[in-house]
Amino acid sequence: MNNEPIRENRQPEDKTGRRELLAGALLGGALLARVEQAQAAEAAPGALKPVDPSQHIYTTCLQCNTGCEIKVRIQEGLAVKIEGNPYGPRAMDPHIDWATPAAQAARIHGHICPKGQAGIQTTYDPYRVTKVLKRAGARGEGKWVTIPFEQAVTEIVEGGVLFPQDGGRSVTGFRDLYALKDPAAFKAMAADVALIQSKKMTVAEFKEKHKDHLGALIDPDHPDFGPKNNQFVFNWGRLKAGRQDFFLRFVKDSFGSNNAHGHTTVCQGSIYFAGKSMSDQPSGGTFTGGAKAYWMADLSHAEFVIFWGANVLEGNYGPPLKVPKITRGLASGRLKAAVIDPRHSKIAAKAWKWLPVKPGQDAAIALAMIQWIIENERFDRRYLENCNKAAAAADGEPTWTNAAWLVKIREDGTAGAFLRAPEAGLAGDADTFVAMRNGQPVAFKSDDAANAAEGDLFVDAVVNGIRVKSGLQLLREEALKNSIYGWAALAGVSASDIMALASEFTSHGKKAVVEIHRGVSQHTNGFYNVLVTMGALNTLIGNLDWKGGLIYGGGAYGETGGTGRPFQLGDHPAKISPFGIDIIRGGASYEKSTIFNGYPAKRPWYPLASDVYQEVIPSAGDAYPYPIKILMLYMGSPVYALPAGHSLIPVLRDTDKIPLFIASDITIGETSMYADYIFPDLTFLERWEFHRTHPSIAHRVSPVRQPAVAPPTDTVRIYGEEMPVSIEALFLALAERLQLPGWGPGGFAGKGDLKRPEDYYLRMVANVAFGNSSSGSEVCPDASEEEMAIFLNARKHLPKSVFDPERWQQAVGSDWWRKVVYVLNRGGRWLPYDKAWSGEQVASKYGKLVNLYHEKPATTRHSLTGRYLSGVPSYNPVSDSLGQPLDHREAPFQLITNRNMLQTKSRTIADYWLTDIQPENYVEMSTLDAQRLGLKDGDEVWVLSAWNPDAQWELGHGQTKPLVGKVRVTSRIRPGVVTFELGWGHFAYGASVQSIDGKAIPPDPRRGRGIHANSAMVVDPYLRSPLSDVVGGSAVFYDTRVYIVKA
Amino acid sequence: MAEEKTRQEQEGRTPNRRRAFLQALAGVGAGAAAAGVGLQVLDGPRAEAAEIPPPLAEATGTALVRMQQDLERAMTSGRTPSWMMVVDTRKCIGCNACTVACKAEVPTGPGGFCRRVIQKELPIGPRPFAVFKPVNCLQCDDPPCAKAVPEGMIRKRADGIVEMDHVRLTGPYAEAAARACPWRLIHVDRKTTYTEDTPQPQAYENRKFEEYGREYQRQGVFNNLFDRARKCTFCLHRLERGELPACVTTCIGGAMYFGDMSDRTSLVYEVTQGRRIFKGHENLGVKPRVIYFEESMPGAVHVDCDACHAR
Repeated sequence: MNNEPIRENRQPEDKTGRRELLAGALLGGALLARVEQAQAAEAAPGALKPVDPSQHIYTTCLQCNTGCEIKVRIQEGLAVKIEGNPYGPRAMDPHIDWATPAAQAARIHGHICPKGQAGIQTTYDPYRVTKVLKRAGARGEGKWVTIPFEQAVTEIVEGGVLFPQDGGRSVTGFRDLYALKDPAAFKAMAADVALIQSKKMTVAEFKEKHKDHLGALIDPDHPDFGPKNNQFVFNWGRLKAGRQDFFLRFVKDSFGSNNAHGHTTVCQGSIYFAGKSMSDQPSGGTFTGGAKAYWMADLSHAEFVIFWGANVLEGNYGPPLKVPKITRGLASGRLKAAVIDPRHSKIAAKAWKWLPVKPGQDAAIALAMIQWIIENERFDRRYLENCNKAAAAADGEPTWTNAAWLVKIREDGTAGAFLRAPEAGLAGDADTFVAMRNGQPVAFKSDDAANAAEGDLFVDAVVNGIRVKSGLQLLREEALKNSIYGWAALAGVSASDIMALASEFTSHGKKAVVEIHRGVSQHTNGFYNVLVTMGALNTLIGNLDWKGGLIYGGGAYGETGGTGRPFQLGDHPAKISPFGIDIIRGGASYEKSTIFNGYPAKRPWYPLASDVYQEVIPSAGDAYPYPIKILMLYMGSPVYALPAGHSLIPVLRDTDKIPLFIASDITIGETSMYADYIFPDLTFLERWEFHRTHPSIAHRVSPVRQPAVAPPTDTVRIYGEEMPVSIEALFLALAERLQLPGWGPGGFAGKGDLKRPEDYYLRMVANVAFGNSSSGSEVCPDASEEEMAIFLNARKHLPKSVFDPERWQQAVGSDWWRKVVYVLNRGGRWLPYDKAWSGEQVASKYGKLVNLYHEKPATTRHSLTGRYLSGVPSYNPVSDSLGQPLDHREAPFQLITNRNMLQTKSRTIADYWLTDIQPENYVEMSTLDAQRLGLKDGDEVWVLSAWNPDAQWELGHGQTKPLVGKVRVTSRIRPGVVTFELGWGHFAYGASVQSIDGKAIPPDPRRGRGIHANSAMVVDPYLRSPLSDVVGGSAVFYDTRVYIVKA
Repeated sequence: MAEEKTRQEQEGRTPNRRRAFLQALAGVGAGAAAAGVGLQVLDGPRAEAAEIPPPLAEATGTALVRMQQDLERAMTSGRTPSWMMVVDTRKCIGCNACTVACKAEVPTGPGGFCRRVIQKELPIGPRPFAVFKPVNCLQCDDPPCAKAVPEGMIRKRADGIVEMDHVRLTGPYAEAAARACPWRLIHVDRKTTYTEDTPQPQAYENRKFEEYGREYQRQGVFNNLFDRARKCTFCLHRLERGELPACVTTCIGGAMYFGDMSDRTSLVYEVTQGRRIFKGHENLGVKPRVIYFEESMPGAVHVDCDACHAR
């Protein structure tokens, strides 16, 4: 049953109904008498039926990345119902007091979205992989055999001729790849590689000095590649803290590989790395140390928010967290909203204004607004004139910018580095900057808390013979490159709307926010789109750290350790610091490497980014900078998730390019179907993790994910401990076989053993119980006798391999056990509601320099064009990786995607309650376009592009899936744009035949419905892989043009 | 107001709006039932400013805690409560959390929904518009379903819940009840499950649950609900335990209010005072216990319920 509106009948429809109605009317009197009799028979209620608090286990959802706090009702050992956990701010606004006894909280339920409610079905999925699968045919052929866990571990450790069907090929296993083991050798070689890169040592000198270890290097002629250990590449999709720390302890600290990469760029990529650039601080003559993080609105108090490319009522970060604040704000009149989006999204349906921007033209609107704000002097002058900490503090501002700092202008007119005091003939060092005040240059340090420095905002001058301009002057010049009407025309929206937004945005003091998301960042110009929107516009009104303004997030409770905490999870007897350029060349300099070979580089380097999801497999395909030996993929499906993910399939199928491919997954998915081994993992209801926070959460939060139900995987014995097969079991088993330091008995360097997952995770819970104050003043109470009983009763259904209270207590010791139970009974720890704000500001502040002008990009070269990047928030046209316009061969429609709250990327198609509501997605186009093409609702259409003219998914082995979908005609999208909702159109995950141990597992057609048009998206002509923002890293979803052809 | 006028002039809105308004009046007069006519378009502040009731500024969590306390009071007062469900339509975002919560709380089969959310797109003048509206059994005081079946098979409880007799109301009687509901909010259980045709049918689908005070299992041999009329029960089994209905607690928009209308100190009573309320099928005289706010978000496009409903 799809989401059709119910026919509202004003009259009974059929004759039968009418007759019955009349008959009822005649019987009316008698019927009424019966009702009255029945009413008398019913007793008035007296006492409440009891609610057993131990029927719930409190944990954290993972149906999307929001990580809402949930409670799971267990009935006869099964998870049967999920509710929001009222202790947490994602599921209850405001959340209840943490001290509320568990028995009382048992009747109070918070809110949770439809996917959250359907989480049970992700666990109880008929297509769960419960045993280790080894491929029996070619990669992706869909033929598997089950093998015992221990045998699988032996095979991947020892290597050899593991796949007879591949000919005589011998696979390198973990043991041979664990080539360099001594932490001291790592350190020494890393130091000398740094010398090579700064030209203070030659490769020949290095080879002589380290001749005993040359065999451990990938390529002795390129020591900056690092050791062979780096040829083990670990790549993840959805991974949060706790599990991430556990995995990296293996991959980096113990095995010594530098290749541990996440998926960030498929999500928001350029938002994070623009945020990193905004938060870089001056140090040692450069800008460094920025956090991979970003900002969002304080929705509980904001008065005006522009939701820009942000689908807040359907996806984003995330619905249970943000929707209640938004609807409450809108309904009460406190919040006014404007929406900038090619789609008339659900938030647009409730907003004051909707600007239907042309995809990719967001910077045009932002610069028009900036022009209006500057020319009408509606910016916060007092805030922007502050050059340093002391000046900000004097004005009661928690942050300051470099708006007034002077930037050196090069001969060619481009802006470069900031002017330093010595260059201006003033006293200071490489971290002393210069501003102009009343015609005189003044020198200052950014973090100087004593001497306030203020500067003029619009400076274009010569200082000591050097042409300089202030940061804000550069922004103004950028904004003036076009008239407001010119910018509006580029963006395809009305100039008066833009001006109305600018006026409104500057009419609420600091309680106005530009809040962006993927619509802004997932373009080739994403990095700069973010800088003009989230960066420049918010900075102009100085709303950072203010109540109702732009906030950075309240942080978490130091789960992995820190001063005063009972456990330091980093304790390790022989911790390795890996070195070497990683497989995606993240945070690395092409110019300094030993493979520098002019421009363009063979593949892009990402000095400003990391976790470039769309680079891992293509780089392995090009063996650039070096070939890899083992790829391990965790809870990720880049083939499905990435735009043009199909371009990864030929690489994944190639056993020369990826000799060993191991996947950790819960089903045979669109990417794990190409693996050599699938190790079954636990779903989020069966395991541990620490989900932490998001920028829009003002409170300090540490939600805990803990086992609620028994898993279906086999039980195995590792380090003498019984546990279910999971990815933790896999890493523990590998560590045991390789005898890695930091694991097993004495794994925590004399501070305890690491023999089972709980040895790690319960220590983290104890740190949460400790609280945030290093003095120990926030240590939580012990669980009462009643709460201990609730805790134990709630877990009676769990086998000893999952829950053994004595063994759990042993992991943390008797001092911490009852405090750990206190935390686990609530599902985590959260700051009391009122404490997130302090006066008119947030309590957890960003509190430092925020860059308006960006020196680091300005002094970094684009690895493909050789030109310096710009440090100015600016308008950039959409282009390919070489900076050339894309040739869409006159395709008329711009293709975008959007989220529907019923599905998350790749993993919720298994949830039948969700597909019952909406069985498929559609190719959605405007009424005008449909009329022009003669299309109506339900018509099947091909989605073709210049990059996929055959409109097929090429899956290998002659398997294809056509790019066909059904049309849905709507007035709620900009003409010229078509969209489809992500999450449908599967070709694995139970949608295709797989054969296990010779038996064909029939697919479920419900899982294959709809269209997943990612394979129509641009394959970059130079990279031969997904179109990217080469500066900020974003995988580009929205810059493809397509043809829609009736099927 | 001056700024408003300039904007309207620039975008030529005023003439269009007027035209649409006149069309709307004509449409209502002609009795047209199709969506797209009969709409009153108000862009910007509402004309009848004096009628706007006080804003409900309290947060979802505060409302839930208060309603749970109201519920405990109602269930321990010794008085029979009079249940009412109120929907703040402005805050519904059409996410279907309630639809799924209902299914998880009281198991039903594929295609069987006790709760649904209508999502309707309405072209209004120059701007598109969408309305979201959850619906479930209205627990009518004068239910058409009860009149379509033999006496007593469907009875109106004193607390307002309409109760099906799962012993006698079966087969053709269940189907007659389902047909009689003007909003099609009753469905007949066919004992089908979501995983029955998959490689591994799952045990959670056969878990025990309560309905009208008795225990059932959808695939149970003797205690299944095959051929029975299923519908919203206002989560009676939760109310008896002092827990709010599943759709009320799960609503992330904060659109749901529930409680004892006869308790003047309760939140559900308070939110209905001074508001324009829409009651479905008033023309049929059903007297529903699920009622809706008839207003839109301040500043957003407004649509009267008359657009789709005769009263």
